Amino acid sequence: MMRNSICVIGSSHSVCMRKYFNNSVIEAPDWYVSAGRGFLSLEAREGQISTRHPGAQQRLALTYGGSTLRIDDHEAFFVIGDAPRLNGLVHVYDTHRLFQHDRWRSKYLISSGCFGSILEDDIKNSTTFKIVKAIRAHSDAPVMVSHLPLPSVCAISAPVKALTKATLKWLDLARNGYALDLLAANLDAARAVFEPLNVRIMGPPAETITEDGLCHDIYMKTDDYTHKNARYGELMWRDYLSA
Amino acid sequence: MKTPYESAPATAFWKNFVTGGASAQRDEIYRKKFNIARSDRIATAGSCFAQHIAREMRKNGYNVLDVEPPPRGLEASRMFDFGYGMFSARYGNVYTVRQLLQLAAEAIRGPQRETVWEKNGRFYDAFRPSVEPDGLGSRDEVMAHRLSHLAAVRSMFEQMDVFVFTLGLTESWMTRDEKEVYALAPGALAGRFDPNVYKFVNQNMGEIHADFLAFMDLIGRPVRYILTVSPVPLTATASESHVLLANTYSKSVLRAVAGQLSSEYENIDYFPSFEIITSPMARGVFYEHNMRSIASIGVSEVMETFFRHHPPHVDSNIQVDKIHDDVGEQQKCDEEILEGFSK
Repeated sequence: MMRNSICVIGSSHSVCMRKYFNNSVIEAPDWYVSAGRGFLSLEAREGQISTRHPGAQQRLALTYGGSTLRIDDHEAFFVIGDAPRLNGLVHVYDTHRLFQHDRWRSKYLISSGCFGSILEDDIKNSTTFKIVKAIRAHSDAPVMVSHLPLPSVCAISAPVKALTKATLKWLDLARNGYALDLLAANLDAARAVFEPLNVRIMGPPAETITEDGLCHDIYMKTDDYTHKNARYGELMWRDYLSA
Repeated sequence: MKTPYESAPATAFWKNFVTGGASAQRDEIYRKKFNIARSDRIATAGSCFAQHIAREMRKNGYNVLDVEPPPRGLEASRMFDFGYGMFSARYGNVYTVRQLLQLAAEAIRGPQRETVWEKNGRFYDAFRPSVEPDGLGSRDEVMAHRLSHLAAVRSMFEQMDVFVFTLGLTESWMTRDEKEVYALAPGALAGRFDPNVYKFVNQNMGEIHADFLAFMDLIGRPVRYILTVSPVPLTATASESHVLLANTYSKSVLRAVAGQLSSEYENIDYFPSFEIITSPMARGVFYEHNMRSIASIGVSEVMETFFRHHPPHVDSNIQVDKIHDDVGEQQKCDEEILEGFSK
C-alpha cells in the first residue's frame, strides 16, 4: 500500500486537523489516530507501532487502513497525543506556587527547577514520549509534537460537572493571571525533553490564545470545551508546515 | 560483698556481650525512657543517618511530620534532590547542634540573616544550599523561599511532641564573628571562600552542650527528645588532624554530649545507633565497601533494635502515604561533596 510521506499520530485532539482536511481540497497526510485509552494503549516494538486494545485496533484500521504502523513507511511525523498537557501543571498548583505568582498565600513555594522537573517527568511518562522514542530509534525523519489545546473561554460559564478537573483548575489559573507563564513553562519542559531527540515542539497556535491563557471560542468544537474545530486544525497544519 | 561488680547485671560485662549475640544486643543495649504513642507528632532532623530513622518510623506507623511536603508529580528519585522527604522539613542535613540552634532561632524569632550564595548567576540559600540543585533566580527569590521554609519549620517546632535528632559533626564553618554557621563550607557548592570572612570551628563538649540547652529553651515546650550519634565517619576534616583522629574526636564529643544530656534530663533519651554500627562485634559488616556509608543490613539492625523497644504501630490508621513510601532507601549526604576535593 502506498503511504503518504507525512503521518499524523494522534489522540482525539488531532481530529480537528482531520476535519480541516475533510473540508479542503488539499491531500491529507496519513492518520493513525485513536482516542482516549486507545491512544494510551499504543505500543512500539521493532520499528512498528500497534495496539492490543480491540477498540483501538478498529479505530486505527479505520483511520490508517491497518492496525500496525511501520515507522519506515513515513518520512515525517506529527504527534498530537497526550503530552505536553495541562494535567501536570494544574496538580502542582493545587498546593504549590512559583515565586513570581504568589509568595505569601497559603501555598508552598516551589522553585522553577523543581517545577520544571515535574513537568518533564509528566511528559516522559506519556504515550507521546514513548512513541517519539520509538520513532527515533528507527528513523531520522523530522518529528513534531504539539502541545494539547487550551480550554475554551466559554468554559468559564459552563456547569462545573461538564468540565474535567484539569480544565477547572486551568480556568482558576487563568483567572489569577498565571496561565500564560505556566504554558511557557510547560513548553520549556517539553523542549528540554524532546529536543535532545531532535524533535520539535509546537505550542497552541498563537492567534488562538487569549491574554488570560485560554482558547478563543471561535476555535471550539460544538458543546466541547476541550476539543477544537476545523479552523483550529487549519492553524495547526499551517504551523506544522512553517516550522 | 567483695566488690561492687558482684551485683552488677550481666550486661555490665563485655564477655557476656560478646557471647550474647545479636538478639541479646537488641534486647539489652537500649532501655527507653518514654513511650511514643501513635498520635505523637514526631519531627526529625540531623545528619544523613537521620534520614533512615525518619523513613523507617513512617513505614512503621509513626506520625512523622512533613511540614514541607513534596509537590504532586515529583518523581521519588528526584525528591531528595530538592530536599523533600528527607526530614520533617526541607532544611537538608543539619550536621551540628549550632546549626540546629540557628535554625530554631530564625524560625521562632524571625529571620535575622540574609546570606545568599551565588554561583554562575544562580542564587543559593547559604544555610541549605543543596535543596535547590540549580539554585534560584534572584536573591529576592531565595529570601522568599527562606521565609516560607522558616514559617514551616516554626509550625513543626510548635506541633512536635517528639524530636529525633542525629548529631553528626563537631566541625563547621562560621563567619568570623560566629553569628552564622553553615552546613557546608563556603565555596563547596556555591559562594566563595574568603578567609577574612569565614573561619573553621571545631566545637567542644561544653559548647555543644550549651547549644542544645539553648535550643530546648527556644522550643520552650515539654517536648521529648531522642538523640542519636551518626555512625557515618567524616568525609573530610579541616582540623589539620588525620581524618581518623578527627573522626574519633568528633564522634567522642558528640557521644559524650548526648550521654550527658540524657543523664541530666528525663525528657532526653539516647538511642545507641552509633554503638550498634561501630561495635567490634559487628566487625565492620554494617559498613559499605567505602567504610563510610551504612549498609542496608546495618540500618535494619539499628531499626530492628529501635522497634523492639518502640513497637511499630501496625494497627495504626496513620497510613504511610505513597509519596514517602516511594522514597525507598535513598540517602543524601551534603558532606559527601567534600570528597570531590580529595587529592
